Amino acid sequence: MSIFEKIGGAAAVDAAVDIFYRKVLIDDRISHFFDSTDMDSQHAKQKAFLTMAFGGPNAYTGKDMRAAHQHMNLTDEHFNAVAENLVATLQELNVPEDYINEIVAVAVSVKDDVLNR
Amino acid sequence: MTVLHFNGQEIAMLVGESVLDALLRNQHAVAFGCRAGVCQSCLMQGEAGGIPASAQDGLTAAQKKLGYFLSCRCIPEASSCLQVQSIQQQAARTWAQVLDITPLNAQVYRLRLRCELDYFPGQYVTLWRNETIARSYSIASVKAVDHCMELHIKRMQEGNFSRWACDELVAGDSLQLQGPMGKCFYAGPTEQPLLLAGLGTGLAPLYGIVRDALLQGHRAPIYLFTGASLAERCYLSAELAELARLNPQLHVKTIAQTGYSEWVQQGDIYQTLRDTLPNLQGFKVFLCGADSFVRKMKKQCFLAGASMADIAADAFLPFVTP
Ligand code: HEM
Ligand code: FES
Repeated sequence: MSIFEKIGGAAAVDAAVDIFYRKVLIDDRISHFFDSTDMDSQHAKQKAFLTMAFGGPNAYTGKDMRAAHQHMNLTDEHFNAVAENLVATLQELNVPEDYINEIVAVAVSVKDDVLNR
Repeated sequence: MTVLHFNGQEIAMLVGESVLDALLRNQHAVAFGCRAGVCQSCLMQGEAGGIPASAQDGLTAAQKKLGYFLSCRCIPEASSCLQVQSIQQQAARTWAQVLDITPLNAQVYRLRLRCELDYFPGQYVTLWRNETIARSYSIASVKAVDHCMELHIKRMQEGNFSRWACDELVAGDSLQLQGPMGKCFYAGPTEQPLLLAGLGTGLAPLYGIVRDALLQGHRAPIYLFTGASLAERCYLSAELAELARLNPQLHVKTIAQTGYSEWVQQGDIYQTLRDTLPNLQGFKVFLCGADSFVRKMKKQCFLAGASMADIAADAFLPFVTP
């Protein structure tokens, strides 16, 4: 069973997305990336992010991840901020520690693509 | 190159151009209003397959099946070939008769229409002055109570539609109307607390929604925040105060940036909302008014705990004339 299925699939994404997006919007280190005028489309992209981080079905390749983030000039600090907010969200939802570790591992696996290295 | 076939003619489309823009550029007198996918006055019909799904947002399942689409939102894929035609616009419209039009304050007029249409209070309709000028207005009435359709029209000095409507329409006149459209309306549950916030004529849909909710026996608290820049631009304030007196679960605040009156307090609507309701978790939220207001409020409400899925917003977009 994949981690995505273990934590409840699409329903888990739905439960996490508002909490995660709220955290990101008030995090001064990264809020400016997400503070676009169209909240609905940003909200949808947070879902894409979470589905991917939870190891769920998605159509993104490493090359896509590179292309999606390239123009943002992201640094380690930005990446860590996203990861911290992700972990805090999962803790708030009482996701067990081992699952959280698995999810963080997925995020770290695309780090080089996201940071364009 | 993308080629557009329109009523038997061929038009070469520019990159990134909408079907509406291509037709206007070639001097075709096609109808349009908001150019933003809201009013549906630019409705056309095309062959199935070539129409991007985004050009059919907001249409009914039947309209989509018929290949109807919004030409202002339709940017075909590059190097494709698209066949489109005008539709008998009349088929999408109904006639309404003016019952009366009366000023609610120096700027806002109440237009009451008799028409057969079924609607949910808070949805909107597009009114036609003639074959080319159309504007959308939100519905403030509750059919079962008001027995008519009530719209609030802000008279704009340069308004091609609103100046005509406010100055020239008289009881007994007929005009064409399209709709209803939009998803900003009450659908329960009666136990969920409600927050309604609107500036200016953003009050119109909220006035419909709040009375609809009360009529349907809404039990949880309802908070209505409304206002304008100046106290004298607020309207229906006495009616709202009376409504709140009769319904203990309803709390109304009318807020003006400048000035106050018996029913209007001076203040900042964002701050007043924050102070009154610091936690919006579990609330259903309705936001109506100018785009800038709706955007700012949406973020504030979301950060205060409302779920994105529970925020219904209706931003009034300026209708652009080229
Ligand atoms: C931790 C690994 C990350 C993953 C798996 C990830 C995944 C994604 C995905 C799937 C999308 C949607 C792409 C699309 O469909 O357009 C996206 C968009 C986005 N990501 Fe990430 N991301 C990561 C890290 C970051 C970081 C560190 C930042 C910045 C602090 C960031 C900022 C953004 C922004 C702003 C968008 C939206 C771009 C737009 O509006 O088009 N991401 N990300
Ligand atoms: S929906 Fe196309 S012009 Fe309004």
